[in-house]
Amino acid sequence: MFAYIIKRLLWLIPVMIGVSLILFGIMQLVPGNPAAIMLGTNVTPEAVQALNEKFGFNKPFHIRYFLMLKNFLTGELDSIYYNDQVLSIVERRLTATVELGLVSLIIAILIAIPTGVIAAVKKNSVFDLLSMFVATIGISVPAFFTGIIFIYLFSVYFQIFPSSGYGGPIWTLSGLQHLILPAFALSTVMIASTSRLTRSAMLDVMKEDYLVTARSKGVAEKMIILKHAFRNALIPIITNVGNQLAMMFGGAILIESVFAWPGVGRLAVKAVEYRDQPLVFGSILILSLLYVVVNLIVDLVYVLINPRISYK
Amino acid sequence: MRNKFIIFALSLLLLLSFLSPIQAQDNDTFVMGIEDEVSNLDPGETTISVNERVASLIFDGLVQYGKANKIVPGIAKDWTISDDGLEYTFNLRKGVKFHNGTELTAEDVAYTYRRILNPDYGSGLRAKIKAIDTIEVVDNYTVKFTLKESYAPFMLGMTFGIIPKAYAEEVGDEELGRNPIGAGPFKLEEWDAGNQIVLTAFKDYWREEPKLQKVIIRSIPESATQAMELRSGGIDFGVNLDVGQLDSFVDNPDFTVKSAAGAGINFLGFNFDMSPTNNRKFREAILQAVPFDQMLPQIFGILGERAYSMLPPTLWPEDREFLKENAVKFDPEAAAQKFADLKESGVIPADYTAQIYVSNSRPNQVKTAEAMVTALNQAGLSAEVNAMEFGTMWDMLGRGEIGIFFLRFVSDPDPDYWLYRFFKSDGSLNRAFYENDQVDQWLDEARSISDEGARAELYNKVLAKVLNEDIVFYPLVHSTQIYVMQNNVEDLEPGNSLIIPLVTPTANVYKED
Repeated sequence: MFAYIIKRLLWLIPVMIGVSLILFGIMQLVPGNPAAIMLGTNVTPEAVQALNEKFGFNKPFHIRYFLMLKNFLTGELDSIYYNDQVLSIVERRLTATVELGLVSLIIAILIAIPTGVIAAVKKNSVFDLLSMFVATIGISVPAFFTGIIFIYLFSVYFQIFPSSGYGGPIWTLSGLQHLILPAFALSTVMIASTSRLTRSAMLDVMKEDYLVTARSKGVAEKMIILKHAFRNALIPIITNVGNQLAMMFGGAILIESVFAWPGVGRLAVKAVEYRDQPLVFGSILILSLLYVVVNLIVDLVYVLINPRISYK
Repeated sequence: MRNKFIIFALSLLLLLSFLSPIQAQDNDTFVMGIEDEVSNLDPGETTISVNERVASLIFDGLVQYGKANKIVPGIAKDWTISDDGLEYTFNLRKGVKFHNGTELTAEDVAYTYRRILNPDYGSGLRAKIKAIDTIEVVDNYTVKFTLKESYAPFMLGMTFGIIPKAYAEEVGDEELGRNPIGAGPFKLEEWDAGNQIVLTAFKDYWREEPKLQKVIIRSIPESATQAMELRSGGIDFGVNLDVGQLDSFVDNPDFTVKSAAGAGINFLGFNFDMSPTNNRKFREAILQAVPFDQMLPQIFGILGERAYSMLPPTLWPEDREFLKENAVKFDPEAAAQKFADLKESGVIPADYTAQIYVSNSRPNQVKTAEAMVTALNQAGLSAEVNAMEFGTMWDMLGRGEIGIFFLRFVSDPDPDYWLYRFFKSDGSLNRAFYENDQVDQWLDEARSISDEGARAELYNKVLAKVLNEDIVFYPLVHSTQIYVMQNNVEDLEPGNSLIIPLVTPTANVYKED
């Protein structure tokens, strides 16, 4: 197991180099000169020239790539648009992104899994039909729309939560208050898909012979569902949750916009808009790293829940 | 289990809602929403609108914009201009303090301008003051600028924020942009990047102490969210609302809506280096085919005022009626006839489809382009909308690959800033690739003389030539600046879109109890 983790961690290096190469290549293909965009209507040929020299846009491809990679690794990569270093810009927003992602995940798991299990156990009951109907709506309605509805309900109408912005770290009251609405809005899609998946995975497992055996041996129904059925249904659920979490880190851009949440997703979009190549490079590389790491964690969690899976 | 969870969730909600009042702000604190996030507060690099507006609260210039965008004294209490228009001597006020307590002197002024003039620094503001030949510190409170050639809009460059030389030299440009120290009405308290900027009143501000003790500037990109924030009381003031959202605030007694014309111009442009857009008959037919007068008010609503000039209504010269009368009028039959003629003579190739380029970040322009395409198709010209990301479009425009395009432009209050760059043969924004010696001569002359009447006459000639006669650009709509605020906000008037007018020569904003 330990050797496996080391091996997987070592594999990260070529993966990340590949990502960085593809990323850098795409950035070169995107039309638009960063200096001209940044200067906007104040553009003059001299000003463009000065900026091009300042950020080395005139050097050949491979030199720029190695320069960017080196500067990134040593933490000296400067953003063009923001007057700061890429790492420190991303770091500040990463906290907001990770907080939002993890809290949504927790909300989603707390709601989706019990709902899915109950729906499967009480198949075709009112609860099942109703919850799966709501889940279908949850998958279909875009998260930003849910977000706007939430803001209208909870901050304009009931005035319970602030409508938008980042209130501080999660352990502060203001931070928590600001986090709740976006976290719930972001978790809706995940709740919907996870609860449906949990239900169908549970239904599959519940047809298995060993459950019949367990029942005939007189094991309590609660025990059968939680220990025998649920544990075996967990593999596809964990896979789904892992994917969704990884997507949340980078893909919460709409929610970040609606709630004016200072996350990495919005930052990356802004960076692309301004052709801020160093920042695009840095922010996407860090998002990819998060994605890969989440996947690694998911693979390791498999072992914990299913002893038949082992990595050698 | 389900019941337990619901009880838990409800009690959590209840608990949180009782803990503190969520949105209410006290009357000393002013919260505003802006549409984008601030990236840099170095006043030498504020070529991006949001940066410039926030920096205008922290820094003061030698002169400032007063009512109707007239130049009024700022840190300079008065100034003299030599008869040949080449020497500008400014007398500074004594005792003006920077936020760190040091006194502002002529050395700081000279340093501020020398830094922007330095080509290595790469400031986008340099073009506005590059007429400067030398900067001389006469004494502690007198500074003299000598120009290479007389340049009428020079005074607008004197609005740049003055930075403290000692501090800037000590910390460097980057740190100055992160922790700015100026002599403006507010000082930076906290900058939570991407989220909000907190400013506090500068007690020793030379003009008068700001009435607002604290200003929080929040970046809220989504217009719908800004509207909700206003409704829930989360912000006192918003500037970025769509037409649809604005309507509901106009009749609501809890809010005040104020508007001022002329924050920018939306226009249609043609490429003179490309066929068939270089053909005047073709350009005229396009404008005749489209009922702009009818569709623009519907699309832009209260966010726009129909334009016939490139210059905003607040800016001299006053010749709009002439331009309006001589603009191309809607005449679909004439347009159809012209398109047919042009096809027959081969100016419009048989398989030609007019591509109309528009930035997808400007929804109202996209709607206009779509309506325009329908009208063109009806008049017999095949056309399509090409809505693309601005950076890509800007790049293609620079390379002359676009024939018909929509743009929006904002600049400082002098006609030179609006016309020279677009219509001068070598103008930096001459995306129409328009060349006319006569126009070049008028534009050059108008920036070298200082008599406003004579300049206005020249600009009228330029506008009549490029808009009516040659149809280089076709003005569509002056965007109107709309402020929506809680009804207890007093003294806040829109006007100049490049500043946030909280403490100005004529106003000191406050909230009523």
